[in-house]
Formats: sequence, C-alpha cells, structure tokens
Amino acid sequence: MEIRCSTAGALAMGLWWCVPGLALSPFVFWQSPAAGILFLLGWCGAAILTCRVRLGSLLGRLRAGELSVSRGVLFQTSCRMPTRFISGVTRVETPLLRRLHASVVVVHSPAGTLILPGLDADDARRLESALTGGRP
Amino acid sequence: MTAPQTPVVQGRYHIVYSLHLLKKGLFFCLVPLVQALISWDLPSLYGVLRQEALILLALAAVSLVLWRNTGWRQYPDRLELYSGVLLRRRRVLRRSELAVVEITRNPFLQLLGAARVTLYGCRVRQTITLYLPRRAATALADALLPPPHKPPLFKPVGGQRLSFVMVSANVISTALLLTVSLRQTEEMLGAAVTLPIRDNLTRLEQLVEQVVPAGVAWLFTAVFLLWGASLLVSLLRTVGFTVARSGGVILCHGGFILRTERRILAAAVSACDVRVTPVARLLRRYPVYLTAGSYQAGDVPILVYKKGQTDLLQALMPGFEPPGGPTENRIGRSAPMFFWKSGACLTFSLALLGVSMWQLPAVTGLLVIPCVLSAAAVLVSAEGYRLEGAVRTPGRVLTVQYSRLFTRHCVCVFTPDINFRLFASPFAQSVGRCNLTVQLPCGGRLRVRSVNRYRAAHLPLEI
Repeated sequence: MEIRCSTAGALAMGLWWCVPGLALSPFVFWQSPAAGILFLLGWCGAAILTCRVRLGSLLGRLRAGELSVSRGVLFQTSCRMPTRFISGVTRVETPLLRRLHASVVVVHSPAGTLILPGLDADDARRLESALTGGRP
Repeated sequence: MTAPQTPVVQGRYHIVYSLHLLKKGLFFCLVPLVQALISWDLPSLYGVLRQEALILLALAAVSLVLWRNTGWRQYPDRLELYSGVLLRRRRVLRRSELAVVEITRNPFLQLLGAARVTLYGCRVRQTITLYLPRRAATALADALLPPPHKPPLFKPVGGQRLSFVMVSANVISTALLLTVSLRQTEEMLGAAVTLPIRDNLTRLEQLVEQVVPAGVAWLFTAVFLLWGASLLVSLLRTVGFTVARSGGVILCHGGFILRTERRILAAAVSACDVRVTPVARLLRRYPVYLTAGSYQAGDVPILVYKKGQTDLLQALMPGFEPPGGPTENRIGRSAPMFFWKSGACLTFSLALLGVSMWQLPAVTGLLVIPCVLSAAAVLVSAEGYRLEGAVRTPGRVLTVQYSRLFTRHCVCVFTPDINFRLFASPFAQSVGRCNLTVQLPCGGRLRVRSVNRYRAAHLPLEI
C-alpha cells in the first residue's frame, strides 16, 4: 500500500503555516504598511511553496509489517516504524481539510509519533483501517 | 455483563502525600516572610505571619481532603489509582504494561515510615508516583514484581567497590546540584549564610596558590572540590549496593542516606548502555546502565565490569553482545561531521595559547588546560569516526556505538519496539550517507552519524 500527499492537502498545510506569519505581521505593519504587505506575501508564498515541494515528495509505504515514510527534496528524511507496536492512530479533519478532501494522520507507537500531513481523505481512511486491524 | 472484581489489596496513600501537596503552597508562603525578615519590619512580619497561618490552614485542609479521597486498589491483573474530589481521576496500570518498580526513601520519608514508589510502564511518559507506608510499598512491589531469591550477582567490595564509586561519580551533575542549592540558599536566607563557605574556599585557593599559579589555583580548587563532592555522593549512593536476578526480575538496591530499590522486569529491558567515560578508560572498568520501558537508566550504574570480562554482564542480560570493532566503511564518511566541534575548540584554544604566549605569558599555564581537553575531545571524535555504527548481530540484537563529548556509548538494543529515523543532507546524499536515529520506548534517542544509507534503510526493524 502506497500513500502520497494530495495537492489540496499540501495547500491546506501551506495555509496552516501562513497563520504564524499572520500573527507576526502586525509587528511589521507597525514599522510600515509596505513592509508588512511584503513580509506577509513573502511568508505566505514561502510557506505554500515549501509545503507544496516538501509534501509533494512524501511517500509512505505499508508493507511487510513496517510503515515507512520518506519526504524532502534537498534534506531528505525518512522514518520506519514496526506496525506490530503501533498503539494508536488519530485522523484529524478540520472544516478546511474536509472541504479539500484531505486529512492529517498521526500514528502513535511507544517509541515515537509519526505525522502524515495532507493525505487524501480516502487514503487516510484506508491507512487507518489497515493499521487498526481492518476495523473501519 | 461481568460482575465487578473485588480488589486483592487496597489502601490509602501515606499522610506524607498531603505534605507533598502542601509543599507547593508553602514555597509561595515563605517568600514574603523572608522579605519581611530581611527588612526587619516587625509589624508587617506579624501581618504576614497571620496571613500565612490562615493560608497554611486552608491549604492543609484542602490537602487532607484530597488525601482522604486518594488511594489505590490492586487487582490480580491491574493496579488502579484514584484521586480528586470534584474532578475524580482514575488511572489504571495493567501488570503486563509494568516495566520497573522503584522504591526510594530519603531521610524525611524514613523518619515518617513512608516510601516513594515509582512505577514505570512500557510506554513513553507512563510513570506513576505513589507515597505509601513502607510495608505497603514493599508488599505492593512484591506483588507486582516478586524479588529474586538467588544470591546476588554483583556486590562490590574492596577494590571493586572503589572502582564502582569512581565510575559512578558524576562531576557535572554534582556541580549543577551544588550551584543550584547555593543559589537557592542565597535567595532564601541571604548571602550572609554562604559567606563562610566562600571564605573557606578562598583560603583553600590561597593554599593551592603556594604550589601553582594564581589563575590555575582556582581551577584546581574547583575541580578538587567538585570531584570530592561527587565521590562522596557516589560513595553514599553505593553503600550496600547489590544486584541479583532470578524469575525474570532484576533487583538492585543500596544507598545510605537515600535508600533506593529497583526491580526491573528483564523482559522489559529495552537497551543496555555501556558508557566508556574517561575515568572508565583509566580504570579499564565500564559502567552499565539499563533502560526499560519509560525508565531511563538511573543515577547509579547497574554494574561495572572489567574490560574483556563480560561474563557478569552476560549472566545479568543473557542476550548482551559485547561491543565489536568498526562496522562502517570509512570511504565517503564525513570527517567534518565528527570533528567540527572538537576541532573548532582545539583551534580556538591553540590560537588563544599562541596569543597568550606572545602578549600575556602569565596566563599561558591556564590556557594549556583547554588545549589538552580539546585534544582529548579530538581523540574521542577520531574514535567515533572509526567505530560509530549500527548493526544487527547474528544473535539478532541491534548494537549501536556512538560518541558524545568524552564518552563512547556501546548500546545493545533488545526490544523490537523501536523506530528508525534517517536524515540525509545534500552532501550526505551525494556520497550515499545519512544520519541514523534509533528511537527507544523510554524516549531516548541514539544518533549515529554518517552511516551507509542503503544499509541503514534496509536494517531489519524486527528481531
């Protein structure tokens, strides 16, 4: 079973990353409105672009009792987790994510937590079902 | 529907639990009192005392009510803890999830006949602390993890005890503890209390100054004092220290002022860490620390073994594989990753030494020390460059070797419940290398630098 991040999911994650920029922007707007607009455009553009590129490269594989997820273009990271010890799966769906037909899946195991952001909602449901022993 | 089980044993916490709750409020009461005492304003002091007496009475009443509604119930398969008055909280720990039971008794608890029991589960942050009467604590520990009845495996005496004390001494933690306690004493009671300590320290430094230059004398005094204090702490912690194993339970207990007893379920041991510290290198005796579930290697090693003689460790942990030689090919291995910190420190120290020889010859002696320490760090980095790696042995145990500062860690990972995280920078990708991090259930992370990427990606997770 292969899992990839959907384009809409990556966009939603990019929008989430815009929130810290929005929170910081009043401090820059206070200096000058032009600098504020520039800062906001730069932050939001960078957040959406980074999420698009990084999450676009996300590839999850569930096979042979192992969940492996790799992501990143320049700085590549990957995580491998034995499915036998997975203690819980959380699927997060906000109104925005539901509208974009995407989900965030958090996989818990005693040794750590793995976050799979911006998955297609159907893929997320299939993954959750597979990791929790076939239960819907 | 099944009938509710009746508990085998149940009880309430020791009254010291309410003092534990009261302690938090007491700290806030003391601050205005100390302020009034320092300014010696008697009318305001009486006012503060009256206010605090009322606050303390109210806090004591709340603590007592909370204590009355807090307790534990032991069932054959689980332990239940309940607490709270308005917001009732119930925690359940299944016996199958229990990894370690730790009983500690400091002098205050010994005086009141109480014991602090800490239960460590198999998952991260699954830790429960109880304050129970001494006998109830022992009975609970006996029921959860029965103690071994075989003679002890490790009972350090004579020279072995001396090496155990020296290897267990931790100068850094003692230094931090001393600094924090001195600062807190000064904050609470004023600088006048610590003045005699400072005076004696200055006298000692003046004595050392007779032999070595002034700048180095302070350093020698500090190192001598800290080393002495850490040795004393270690000596007190290791009084009557014994380790035994039978029936799948490892028992270690000891200590003079702070009495500690740990019962570790052998099947729950996730990793065994052999730490090759500078002192261990000099004595050729290596301390061993165990991690099990959420329990992360305590303050004292479980045992110390002589170089090359791993029989004792094999008897304690039969699956243990002694650390081997290099497991990684050095072609393409990133040298800057290993040497940048220690190398930068050495270069900076040498530059300072050069400048001092030219401009300030008086402090040259003092600057030799950081040069020697940095050179030692470079040597440890070189050892790490040669030995760092992770490999599954024929016994299907994962052995991980890595270096941090002056210490080399040789870790045997027994549990299959681990995660692997790989990180590859663009430079590492170009030579097929990556950093491998092994995540343990105790929350510990073992990071091995610049390993072969293909081998790391195909390292078997399951035993």
